[in-house]
Amino acid sequence: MAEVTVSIPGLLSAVTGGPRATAVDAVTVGGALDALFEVYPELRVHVTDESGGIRSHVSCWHGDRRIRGRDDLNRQVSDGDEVIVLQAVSGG
Amino acid sequence: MIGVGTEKGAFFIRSKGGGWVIEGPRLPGWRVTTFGTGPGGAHLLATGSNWFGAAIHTSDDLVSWRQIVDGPKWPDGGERRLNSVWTIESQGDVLFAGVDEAGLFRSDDGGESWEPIDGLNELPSRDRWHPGFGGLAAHRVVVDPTDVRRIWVGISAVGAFRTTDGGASWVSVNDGVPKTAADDEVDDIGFCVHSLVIDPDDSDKLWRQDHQGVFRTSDGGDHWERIEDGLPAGFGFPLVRDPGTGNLFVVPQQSDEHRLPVDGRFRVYRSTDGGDSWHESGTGQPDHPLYAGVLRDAMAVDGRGGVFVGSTAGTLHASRDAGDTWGTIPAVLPRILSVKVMGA
Repeated sequence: MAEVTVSIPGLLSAVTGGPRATAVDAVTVGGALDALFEVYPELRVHVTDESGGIRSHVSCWHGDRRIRGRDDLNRQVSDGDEVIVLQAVSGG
Repeated sequence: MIGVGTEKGAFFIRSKGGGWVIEGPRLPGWRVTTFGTGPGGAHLLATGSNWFGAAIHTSDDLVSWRQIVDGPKWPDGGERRLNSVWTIESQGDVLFAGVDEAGLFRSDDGGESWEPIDGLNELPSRDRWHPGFGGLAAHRVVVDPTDVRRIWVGISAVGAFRTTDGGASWVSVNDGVPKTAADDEVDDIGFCVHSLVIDPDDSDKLWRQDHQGVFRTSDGGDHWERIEDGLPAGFGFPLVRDPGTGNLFVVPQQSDEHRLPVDGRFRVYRSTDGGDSWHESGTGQPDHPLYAGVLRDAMAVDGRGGVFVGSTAGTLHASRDAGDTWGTIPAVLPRILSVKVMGA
């Protein structure tokens, strides 16, 4: 297990009433998100859709690498890594 | 208290000393698509987002809101997506939610968990359902106040459906209404209902604002007749009924292509004879051009003569005497999607 930080946009932290950044223990990017959803279960529906993957207009990053598909969720994380959830730039 | 759902949060408006007090936005930045009331009086609202999906939230005080974790949801791994919750209706201890992608869900625990009503959601015609401009949405739920097993649902652009067995089986009830999006294989879909209201004293009587005009039925939806005498246009979205007077209200718009008030005259029209005839309602409606529409959930009555209308331009208009006189509430909000009387 690595200790990583998962950050979410303000619109989502306002829903949870929690912080923008949460430290979790995880092995993979997907595991880090699941750990965040354990703490704040209301976030799952906002970050993932019925496919089980990241919503199409949500941008998720592991460091400087964008998480695009289910395979990317299996990327290994290391101590000190950041997983960042962003509102994708959609539209003009 | 009036709940106003906008593109950028919920506002709550109450009258005070002849004026209005506006609170909010609550859940700022979220699209607020509708409101509801749970058993015991808990307040409910639905949020949506182009980015972060839809959810239902509950509150006891209209200030602090808690998101329900297990809201309406399509099965994991499937193709359907839950994009919006467009209506939350209650009847006794039961809640119904109409959603996009189209479907009806039911909660028996105050909204904490929801089950799909497969009898409607999985109708054989489902594969042929197509969205209207506003999406493929179940957005109207009308429950017979005398029989919770008798329910009408409006789905765009599919049509109105009725169950008499609590949701196990459904029939299309659109006879007399022209189709908006005809299907070349399935005959009983392709109708674009926008609003449905019922006469609580005679639950075979319903009125319908449809894409194709204004209609009424006196046999529970088996047959519909067009009722547009006096209207400048048949197109529109909301239709409400003041239960005290029986007055009906619509907001006509110039055709489905333009979707604007005819000649920029923003007018609520009223029928005092059950839809036989329509007239501009009362005095005090805006005397300046107002090129804005009113969406299907954005007009409400409070049962005491109050009629409240929110426009796509963010303006709010109110009558306290069933449409005899109107005033404009002094605020301009984000685009208004929903106006509901919240009680309290």
